[in-house]
Amino acid sequence: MPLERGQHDLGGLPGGPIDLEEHELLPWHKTISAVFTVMRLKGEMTIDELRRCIEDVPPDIYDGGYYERWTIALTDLMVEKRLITRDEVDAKMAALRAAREAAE
Amino acid sequence: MTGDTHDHGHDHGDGPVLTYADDSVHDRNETGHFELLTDALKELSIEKGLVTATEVREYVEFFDSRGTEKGAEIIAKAWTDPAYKERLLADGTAAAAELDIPMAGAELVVVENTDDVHNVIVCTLCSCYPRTILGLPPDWYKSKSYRSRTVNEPRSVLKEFGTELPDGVALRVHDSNADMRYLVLPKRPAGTEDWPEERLRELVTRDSMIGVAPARDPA
Repeated sequence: MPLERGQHDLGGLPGGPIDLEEHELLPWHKTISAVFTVMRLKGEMTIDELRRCIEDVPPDIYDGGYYERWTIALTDLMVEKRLITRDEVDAKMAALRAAREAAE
Repeated sequence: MTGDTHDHGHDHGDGPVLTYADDSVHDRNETGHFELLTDALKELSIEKGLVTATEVREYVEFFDSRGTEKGAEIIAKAWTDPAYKERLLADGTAAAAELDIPMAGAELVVVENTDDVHNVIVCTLCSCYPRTILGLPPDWYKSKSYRSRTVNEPRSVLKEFGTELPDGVALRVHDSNADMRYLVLPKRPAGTEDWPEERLRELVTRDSMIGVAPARDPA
C-alpha cells in the first residue's frame, strides 16, 4: 500500500492563483521565530523536530497560517520535550489575558 | 471567552504527544489567540532559563534588520569576480562564509541562470528559505499555491510574476529542504559591463534570487 501523502507534502497538487500581495510581519511573528531560533541555537531542539511538529498540527491549523502553525507546533514540541506543560501554557495565557483586560 | 483552565481529557502519556487538544479549538478562534500563545511561550521560556529576554530581543532586531542586502552582496560580487563566482557555484556555504554570512546549519546551493537555463526555487514540504541571506520569506513563497504548482507548472507560475521565458530556455525547479537552501544567481543585466559592484547590488532583487523574476533592468 502506498504511503498516504502528508498534509505538508504539496508538490504537484492542483492549486489556484498565487496571492502576490506583500504583508508586513506582525511583531508576534518575529517573536515566535526568535524564541525558536534561540532555543535551536542553544541545542534545546532542532529544525527537523519543529518541522515534524508543523507537519503534524491539526488540518485547520495547518491551513490557518504559517506563524499560526509555528506557535502550535512549538508548543507541541516543548511539551513533548517536557520543557513546559500544557497546564503551564494555559495558566500563563490566562494570566496574560487577565493582565491585558485589567489594563484596558 | 473565559480564562478558565479546561480539562485535557486525552492521554499525554502514550503515543505521540503531538496534536493540540480538540477542546482548545474555541480558544484558537479567539482574536489574538496566537499572539497570546506566543507571549506565553516566550515568558515560560524565559522563566525556565531556556532563553533570555535579551536574546529574544536581539533576534527580533536581527529579523528586522535583515533584508535582501546580503543576497545582493553575494550576487554582485559573483558578477564582478569570476574566481568568487566559481567558488560560489562549487560551495555556496563556504562562499557565503567568506562574506561573513552564516547559513545557521543549512547548506547553501547556488544555481546560475544563463541564456539557456533559468532556475527557480521552492519548498514544497514547508517553506525553507535562505533566511540569513534574504531575510524572512514573503507570504506567497509560503502559500499552498506556490508550493504545490511550482514543481509541475513552473512556466505558468512564473507568468503570474510577469516572467515569460522563451521556449528555448530550460527551466529548472529546485525543491529546498530543512538542511539545504538554494539561491539563484540571476543573469547580469546587459548594459552594466562597466558598473562597479556597489552599483550592481541595486539591481539584485529578492525575486530575482528566488528565480521568479530577472534582475532589475538598468534602463
